[in-house]
Amino acid sequence: MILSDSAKLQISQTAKRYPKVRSAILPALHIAYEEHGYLSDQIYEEIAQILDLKLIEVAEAASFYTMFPKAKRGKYLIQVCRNISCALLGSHHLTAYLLDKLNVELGEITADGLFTVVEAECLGSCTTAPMMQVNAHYYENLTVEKVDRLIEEFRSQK
Amino acid sequence: MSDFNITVNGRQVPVIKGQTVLQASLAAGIDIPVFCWHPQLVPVGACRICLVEIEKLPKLQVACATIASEGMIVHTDSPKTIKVRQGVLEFILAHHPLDCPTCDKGGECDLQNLTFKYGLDYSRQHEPKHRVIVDANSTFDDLQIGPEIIRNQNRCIHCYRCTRIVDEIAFEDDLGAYQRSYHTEILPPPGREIRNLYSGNIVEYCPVGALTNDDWRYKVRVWLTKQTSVICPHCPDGCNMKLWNFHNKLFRATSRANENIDNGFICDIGRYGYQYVASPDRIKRPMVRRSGELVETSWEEALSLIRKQTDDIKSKLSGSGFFGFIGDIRTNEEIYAFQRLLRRVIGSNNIDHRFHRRRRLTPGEEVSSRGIESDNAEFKDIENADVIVVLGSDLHSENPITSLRVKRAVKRHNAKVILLNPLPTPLGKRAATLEVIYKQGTAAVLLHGLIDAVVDLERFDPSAIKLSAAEISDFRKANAAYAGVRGSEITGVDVTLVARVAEILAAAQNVFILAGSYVERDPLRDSLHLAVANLQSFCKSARKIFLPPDSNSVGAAFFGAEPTVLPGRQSWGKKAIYEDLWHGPIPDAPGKDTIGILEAIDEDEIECGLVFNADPVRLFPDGEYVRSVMEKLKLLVVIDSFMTDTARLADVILPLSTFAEIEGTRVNWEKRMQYSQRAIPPLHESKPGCEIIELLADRLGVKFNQSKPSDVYQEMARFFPTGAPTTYAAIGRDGFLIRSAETNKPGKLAYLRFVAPAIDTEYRFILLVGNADHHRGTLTERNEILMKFTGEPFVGISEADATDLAVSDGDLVKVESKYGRVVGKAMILRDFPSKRVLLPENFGEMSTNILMGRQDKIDMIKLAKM
Repeated sequence: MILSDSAKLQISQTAKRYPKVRSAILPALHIAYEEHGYLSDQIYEEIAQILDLKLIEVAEAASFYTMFPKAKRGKYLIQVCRNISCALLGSHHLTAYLLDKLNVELGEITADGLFTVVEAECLGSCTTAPMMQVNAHYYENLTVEKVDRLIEEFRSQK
Repeated sequence: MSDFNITVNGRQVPVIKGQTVLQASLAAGIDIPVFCWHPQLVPVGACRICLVEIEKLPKLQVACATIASEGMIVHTDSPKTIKVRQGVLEFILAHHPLDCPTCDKGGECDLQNLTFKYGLDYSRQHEPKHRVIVDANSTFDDLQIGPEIIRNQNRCIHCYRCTRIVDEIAFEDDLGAYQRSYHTEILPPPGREIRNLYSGNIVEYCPVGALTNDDWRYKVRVWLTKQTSVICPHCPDGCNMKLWNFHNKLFRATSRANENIDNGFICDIGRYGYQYVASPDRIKRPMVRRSGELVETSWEEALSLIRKQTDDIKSKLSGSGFFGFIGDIRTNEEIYAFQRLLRRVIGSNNIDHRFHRRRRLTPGEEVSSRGIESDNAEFKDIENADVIVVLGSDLHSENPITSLRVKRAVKRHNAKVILLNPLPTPLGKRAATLEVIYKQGTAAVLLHGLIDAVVDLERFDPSAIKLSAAEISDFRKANAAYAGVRGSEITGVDVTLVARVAEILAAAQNVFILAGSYVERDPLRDSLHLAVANLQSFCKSARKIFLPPDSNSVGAAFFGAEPTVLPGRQSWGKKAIYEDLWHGPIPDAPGKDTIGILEAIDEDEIECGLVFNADPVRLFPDGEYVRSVMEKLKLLVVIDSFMTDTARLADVILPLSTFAEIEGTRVNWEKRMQYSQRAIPPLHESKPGCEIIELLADRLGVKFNQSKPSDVYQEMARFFPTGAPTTYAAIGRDGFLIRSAETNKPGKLAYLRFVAPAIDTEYRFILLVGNADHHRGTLTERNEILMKFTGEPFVGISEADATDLAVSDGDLVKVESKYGRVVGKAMILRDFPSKRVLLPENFGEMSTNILMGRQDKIDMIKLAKM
């Protein structure tokens, strides 16, 4: 069993909010990956069991949404926006800077297990470009200095 | 019929309310191209190829999902629609590999055909095509997703027919569509493969070559093949199939969509089942026993030997020294000709077809046997029922397409499905509203308890049924010992569960009862049949079907393969009709049934047997006894396609052609007579049954001049109701239903007398015999493809018993009865009741009949770890 009892409880509670249990698949996936960090076949199996659905229904839904992480990644997932506004304002330089600073390739986990850097499609914050999303939060109007500061902050928080 | 008209391409097209534009147009003969649409599936509008122009609507609409409404003016071939179709095709082809020369679908590919019709000579896709790489060294990217199915994702056009068939039709969960857009992949769930019983359908209905199966892959081009229409010989559902052959070699079987029966879906047993035809194990030439060994010989020598030896026996014992067994999978023509050979030529009424999965035949069974006492009912009636009761049947494994109809009733109008079985069955998880597990042997008690619970309900309305108040109260009084808690103690079924079933039944408008093989094997079989009729009497409206055990059991019962009934279910008094017809006498006394025959051999009253595609040594209870008796025969002639356990004892073996090599008719459980074509000429030196029987008759002194099945059919046809077709040509695509007037009337209520069997302290387990995955009966064992699914023989036990005996999955266990023992690997079954053991009957290396007693009502065994 991967999911904790409280996560399981939360999932079954959430399911009650929907007239059709199937609708609870997405919130259940959110609960699962927030706790575990990423999704896996074992988690689909557990969710299917809690919701009394077919494994395939859960697995299909999870696969449809590319933003659900399907593999282990750093504690901080840094998603640098690469679409037009951010790109014009140098997002690719930022990405390169981050990768260099953290000594890691795109999608990999840093040796200390803290960071994974990926590129993201438009995150809808063009007015504050360049920007990136770290886990659930936006960091905007980025500069190299600001990035340095943020990384230090994350490191100190661990 | 129609509610209003719409205009399609300037024509008035009648519409039944609720029909889509596509359905109405197709019905009127106006063709609209489709990929994702299928008549049996819910429309999804995924492929867009059926876009049509509808006036006053701003954009083109998908015909498959647009409900037709009055006054619509539709254009299916306007320049605009043609252009859009070309656009859709360009879009689909953008990432299609166009590997047509190496694709199995070539020649029957919807994408190829529509591109041929509407396609452009250019594409705007200049970037590399998207490719799902499975094997970097091959551009085929084949991925095995099940024992028999190979996926080539690059060819897929995302119509989702496959996943919808698996989900909507089969109620299975082993195939899905992952990811999105052109990344979409068709795959089984993580860690599993697609291996459900209906999986072959996804290959048949894939509009392109994305799903193929080993069976057909890279073997032959479709345009070289010829097709024949046959009836599947594997179960009494009687699905219609097409066999595809090239140079007299069979390459595949597909559905021949018959809405009355299969709706275009066949199970894997039918789809791959034809393969036994070309098995290398076939008996190729006649064989005779010489100094103890069976050796090949010529037809002439084999027949002369039979003539000589039968003469000797006949002069000694007359006709009564002979018997005949015929298998339920043979055609009506063969069955009819065989019993005529026995009765008229040899002079013996000792003929039976009831030796399969059955114990001692009960008195009175002659008049009610093997599905022939079913009501007049069809597949369509299952779909119209609001409550379906499946009694004593693993419907999923034994009647897979009947099972699909049950699922369809659930899908279409939420029908309630109640399973009453001695063990959990696959249909339970998939479609059952309630699943009740009773103790084998107590089903009749359960039904009587259920009736009592129905009557007990407030909502029960006696005026809705045809019984008087006195009849009901008398019945309840007589029934008191089986009602409520007292019944529950006998059956092991909780009273509250019985009450829930009763609730559903009492609310039912239209009940359909399907009684299966565990009813036929029940120790109280006859009482149980009556109990089913009683239940019917207490329903507002109900039909009952007793599912016959084999593909043509009904035909065998109808056309005279039973000792005391003449063809057409005519009673003995009508004997003179047949003597007239066959120009000679038939013996006065009715013959012996299977048990009587075996005992008569044992007592040296019978010395010669003709066994026609039957294997009593393997199938009839107490196999060792049957073997020892068969060995006593002076002459055993076996007419068969394979070296069965019975054939091994034969003195003469005549090679018999299989279903694909003969033409003839079969009768399914609806009592629907259907015609099956000959696909290929007889293989090796085998001969069709009718020809062999004519040869034997001729050699034994009577010529019927009916070596062709069509000749036999013409004679048989006189036993049909008036107006029934008398030639093959007249039978037609849908066959015809054999109907008699007096069915569908439940009759008087019958009272039950249940005596609990004495408890044997040593043999404490009840033996249940069933079917393994992708197996039905014993013929499927000869099939390479099905064997990929089936695995090994097993001994199914409950979790509780496994703990008790310290047995884990795969441990060797010994199953022993008073009569014999088998050893097999334990398989622990979830939710399986304790003190029962499930053995599959399909495996030669683990015969189940040696554990059964001929006289016993119920098979008790003991179980031990090795």
